[in-house]
Amino acid sequence: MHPAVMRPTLLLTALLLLTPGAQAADTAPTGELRGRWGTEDNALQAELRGDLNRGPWALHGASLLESIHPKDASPAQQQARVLELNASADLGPWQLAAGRKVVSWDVGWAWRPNDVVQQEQRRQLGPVSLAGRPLLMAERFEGDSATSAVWVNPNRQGDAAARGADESALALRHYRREGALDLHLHARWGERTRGSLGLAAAWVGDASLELHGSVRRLSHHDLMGTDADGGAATLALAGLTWTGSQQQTLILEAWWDGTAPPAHSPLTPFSQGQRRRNVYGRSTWQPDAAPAWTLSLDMLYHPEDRGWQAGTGAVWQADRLSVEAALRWSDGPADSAAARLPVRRSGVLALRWPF
Amino acid sequence: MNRLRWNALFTLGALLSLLMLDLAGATPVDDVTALLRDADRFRAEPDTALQVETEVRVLKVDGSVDKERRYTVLLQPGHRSLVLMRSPAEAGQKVLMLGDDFWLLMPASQRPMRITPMQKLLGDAATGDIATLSWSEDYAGSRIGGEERCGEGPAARPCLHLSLKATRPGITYPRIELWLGATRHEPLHADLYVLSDKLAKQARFVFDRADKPTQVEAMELVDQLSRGKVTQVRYLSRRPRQIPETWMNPMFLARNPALETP
Repeated sequence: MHPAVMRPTLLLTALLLLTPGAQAADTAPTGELRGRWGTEDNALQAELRGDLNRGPWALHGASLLESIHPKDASPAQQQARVLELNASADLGPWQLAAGRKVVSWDVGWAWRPNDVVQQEQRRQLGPVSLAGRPLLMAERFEGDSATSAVWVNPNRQGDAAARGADESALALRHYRREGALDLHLHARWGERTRGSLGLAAAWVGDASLELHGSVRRLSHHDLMGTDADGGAATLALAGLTWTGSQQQTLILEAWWDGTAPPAHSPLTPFSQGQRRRNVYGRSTWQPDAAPAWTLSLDMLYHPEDRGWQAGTGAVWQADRLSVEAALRWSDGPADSAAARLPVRRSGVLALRWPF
Repeated sequence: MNRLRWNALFTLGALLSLLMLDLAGATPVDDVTALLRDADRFRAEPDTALQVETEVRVLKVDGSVDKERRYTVLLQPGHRSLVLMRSPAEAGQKVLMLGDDFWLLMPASQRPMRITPMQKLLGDAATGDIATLSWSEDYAGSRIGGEERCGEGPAARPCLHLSLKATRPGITYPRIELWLGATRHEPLHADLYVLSDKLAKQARFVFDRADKPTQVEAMELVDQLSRGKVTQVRYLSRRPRQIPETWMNPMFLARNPALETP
């Protein structure tokens, strides 16, 4: 860990361990065992999480042990990864944290313009463990508002090779609740990509309907997979979720990704079939006759080149064990990005045993 | 003159009856709000900050346990509650309810998401069922008919039937038909209706003492929308607990509060 993150983490950890007389409130370690059989690889994973609390100080850790067996000729990998390791201080309205931590922002489901810290890859098949980013964070909570300031990747300061989520950046979020409306104001200053400003909102219209939207204007962005500056760009998303009385949920979203290649441009290994205009729908249903099952159908459509990705999935949840199966396929006109993806059929079967 | 005298006597009689009722601490059986307040006291004192440990069992048709879930419910005055899922299968999930506004945090994504009242009904146990421990602040209604008999055999007892309508949007069940014991006003059973006015669940309450009940120990819910799925909600412990105001901020959900710290 870089000194910029290491020093505050160690300081908070030392305060945590040395606080005399503070009541300990440690929770038993928890975790999950997983088996995953996919079209691209098979994997066995064990995730372990734990917390240590001493008065206002806390230490949180999450790690992943995994054995991955690719389906191609690549060698098998056995690895241990630290997903999260952070120390934090609860100072009433002020909360401080340092270390590796997952910090997810924004309001969308399939895509999030203002997820400026974590920059999570969405719509992955099967269970995924998020790996936190190295950061220093200060937050202030008041009745109906919260302000967060994050220095993400301080360890990559001055690193010209740091791209995307690895870039050293300062990020700010101000949240405010106005009754049924959540408002988020975002700002980010990247060492190389400079400033961007964003606004997001979520509103519950009635008992069944939620509407959300998010927009961000970037002064610069990295052109996918290159060192070139892609210039200014706009990211925007609008969507809704609707829940019916028969345990069915519908998500509809449409977004504009100004950083994606324009229609009919050559497909690069880095673009992953992304297009500027996107329409997404996902429907999930928990049948009354079989409440242990959750079934899903989803589709992503690119109006510019009429390419599409469709998926279906089923989850069976017992008391602890859950089994998940998912399939996805991509197609469209021969010149569409979806039809030219190197992998156009994928599937996964996953078992999860939490403890 | 006679008529005036009779009127005066009648008024005096009515006032004396009210005074006697008041002195005896009894609730007039037509004062629905007071009846609901009495009924609430069997689950939680209204406007009290509480930590309630709850166990939920979902039963199969043959009565065996299908799923077992544990929840910590932090109730605060002013229609505010935080539900923390404690079972391994749901560990890390949290639901915050502030009046008619709700948020869900899933551990895989680590961000609070706005949810609708209907989404509160999803999952193994409806969050609204777990976190709702009072009716008097959320419902108004009227008494239906005279005194009825509830239950069968030796457990049968006189009861009162109340028809209740939610006074706020966002309430899990906009209509409830509720039956209370005629003497102590303890809740006996209830029919719970969703927004479409469909009968969603039937609830039956289990007490610490059958003869002189003081506290609801469990609630059994028979789901009428899911082929009679039975869910038992047991209140394992209740203790006063005032939590920091910051915990009631949706953006705080991504943190892991130390629950046992007083």
